[in-house]
Amino acid sequence: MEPVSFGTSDRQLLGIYYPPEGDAVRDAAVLVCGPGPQEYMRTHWALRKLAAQLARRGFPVMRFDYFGTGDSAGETVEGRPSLWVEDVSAAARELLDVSGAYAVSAVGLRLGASLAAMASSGGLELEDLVLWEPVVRGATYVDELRAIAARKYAEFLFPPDQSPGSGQLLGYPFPTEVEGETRAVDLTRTPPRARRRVVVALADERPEYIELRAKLEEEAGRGGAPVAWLHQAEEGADTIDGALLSNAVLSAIGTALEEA
Amino acid sequence: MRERAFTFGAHRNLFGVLAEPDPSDVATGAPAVLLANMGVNHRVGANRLWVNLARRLAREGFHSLRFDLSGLGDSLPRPGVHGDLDRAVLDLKDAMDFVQSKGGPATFAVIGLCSGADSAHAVAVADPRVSAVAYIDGFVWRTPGFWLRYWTTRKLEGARWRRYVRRRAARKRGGPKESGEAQEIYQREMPTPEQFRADLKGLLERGTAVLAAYTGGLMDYAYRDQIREMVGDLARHPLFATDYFPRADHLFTDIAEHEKLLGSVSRWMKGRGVQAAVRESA
Repeated sequence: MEPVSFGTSDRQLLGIYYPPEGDAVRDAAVLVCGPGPQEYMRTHWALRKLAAQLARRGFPVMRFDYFGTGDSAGETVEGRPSLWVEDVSAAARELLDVSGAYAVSAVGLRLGASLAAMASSGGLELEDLVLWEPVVRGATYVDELRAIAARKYAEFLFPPDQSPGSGQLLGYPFPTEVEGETRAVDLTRTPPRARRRVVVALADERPEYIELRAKLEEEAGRGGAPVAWLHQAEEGADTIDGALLSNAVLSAIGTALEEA
Repeated sequence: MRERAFTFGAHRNLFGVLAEPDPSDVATGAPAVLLANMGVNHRVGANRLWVNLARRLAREGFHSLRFDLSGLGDSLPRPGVHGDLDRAVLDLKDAMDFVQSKGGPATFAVIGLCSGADSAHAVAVADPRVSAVAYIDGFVWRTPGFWLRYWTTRKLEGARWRRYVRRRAARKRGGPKESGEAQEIYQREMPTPEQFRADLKGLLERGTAVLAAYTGGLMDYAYRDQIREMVGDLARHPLFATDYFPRADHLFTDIAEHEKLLGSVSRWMKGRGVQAAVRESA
């Protein structure tokens, strides 16, 4: 595990590179794209485990923090999806450079899946793209985060204002422009592209996934990448948190990348 | 300022980010700040609290290292068998050695929130390089003043009744929720009140500055001066400071409260207590 610093001088990003272990030779390195700030802390452990497991399977792997999140440069208030899509491409270039691999695949979780998909439809060449519990519609995602906040803040003596104009959501600055950009995310309009395969990893079935499925299959029919669906429904994995504690999802993602 | 990430430690198992002020800004003789995990959250801190604190302090001339204790965040387990607190003390000592090896200060301010206060306290007692220690929602026990308020004025606080109504409504509504709070996962090893007072006396007599700050989110802490009742005469020691954030929850989720905490720690670092401790250890 090696820390990697990359990006422009005013937008330095922190990555953690996991060199491949063992003798297996893999065609592509794997870039892990984490979720948005509100889901960042709860998913760190699962992404650390995923990265280490993929490295043990022989993949060069990198995790990184988007601009304005985690240990990367930038105030939290400055981070936004349009910049993070650029960060995904910058991280993919860095991973090619560090690993010496000829191609990059991406595994994105929640909003990270959407950002990787948006980067791919904007021209980033990905070998495989794994969408893990992707945010299909940004508007639904923001509404869900607000519902979580309402429930969480019911336990607070002095609940923070989390109305749309308040500029914050679940502990992080959330200015109107960032909310606008996040709500505009729509995977049914910007279908993900990959050279080999798009894999969708899900623990539960949501209405928006049915629509995504139809869209991805339509794209595949038009010569786009074939789509594989990984369903890891298991006890306790019916929520995003349950899924994160599940080893089955992590190992299914590793197997899918090996097969591809 | 600049930030660099490193793996370090006697077993090279620890991962952290060293923040260094611009050479022209360095606060002469000031301690370096150590920030480790709050509960099971990794070094970034809940709501990015430690990143924001480290960067603010770096702009004000302080070095800092925010890092993950063995087995948490991005740090790997430490070889050998240790209790949680003993292991944390070894990790914090490794962190001090590392900062010094990078040309940083030789004295340290260790800041801990929640269970992080337990390890901050343990290393402060164990290592004289610690010249300042801050406990945020650290040690607490119910005092006579707590019980008095518990049975009287507390029942009359509007915020508590409003929360009761919100809780009932939220339970009725159902809907998505976050995973359980971290206290369901780990247990804290707190000293007894007698032990804590004895430790505190030792620290203050040694010349270590101490900050004890509390939020309204800590169930057993009911009023601003409860800490004074907890530690008695020691509260009057010039190196002892307190602060209270009655409107904040335990993790400073509201961004205004988050900013208030950053301001409070910054004032403490620049204030007479920490500066006096610096002079004594120099």
